[in-house]
Amino acid sequence: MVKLREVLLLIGEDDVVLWSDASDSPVALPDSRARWEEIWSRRAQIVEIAHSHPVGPQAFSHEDETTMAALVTALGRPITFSVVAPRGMVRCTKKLDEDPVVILVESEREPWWASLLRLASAMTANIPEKTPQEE
Amino acid sequence: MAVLNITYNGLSADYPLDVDMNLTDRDVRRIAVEVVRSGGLRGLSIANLPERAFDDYVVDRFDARDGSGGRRIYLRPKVPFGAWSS
Repeated sequence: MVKLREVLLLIGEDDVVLWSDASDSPVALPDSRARWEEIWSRRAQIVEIAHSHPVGPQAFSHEDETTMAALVTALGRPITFSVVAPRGMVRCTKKLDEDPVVILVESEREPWWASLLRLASAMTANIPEKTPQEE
Repeated sequence: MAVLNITYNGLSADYPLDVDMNLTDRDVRRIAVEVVRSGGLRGLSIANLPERAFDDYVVDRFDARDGSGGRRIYLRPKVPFGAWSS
């Protein structure tokens, strides 16, 4: 049985996956110097940093928000971040000294790698909000 | 002798520390703020750098790989993500 886990992708131009790593937890990707070194070494190519929340929420956590602020401070430029959850995806572009506006990405507009992220996280993709019996 | 590496605003630079003692993470952050404010790092001088500029950073310490016996202290952004704080 595949275990739920959080997965992170570094995304470049044209939705190319530059690098990835994963935790063994469904609710956390712990701090990692190796991850930072990969981000720094690819800083010129990175367009977006995406990670999964296999058990939700479909939102950025406080941990995500403070990490996004730290990364934008260190890299000195705006970066787009996203969270892929079982039922959808949210995205924002974090700028220096500015609160990001979080948008819900419509399912038909999700990038191709959102499905990959769900698969790598052992998520069941796009679980319907309600079953036919519930409606 | 230790070397403090600071990454900020797209730049990464080393600063030699004269002190050879066990600095706390708080000490390292405070030193970094003052070094950047005073222009002690080449290419990285911000006089009005906020006091809490490095609050979301972590301090990594390890021995230098060049065999000098010195210590390297890296002040870098934290990079955990996740639904819960780790």
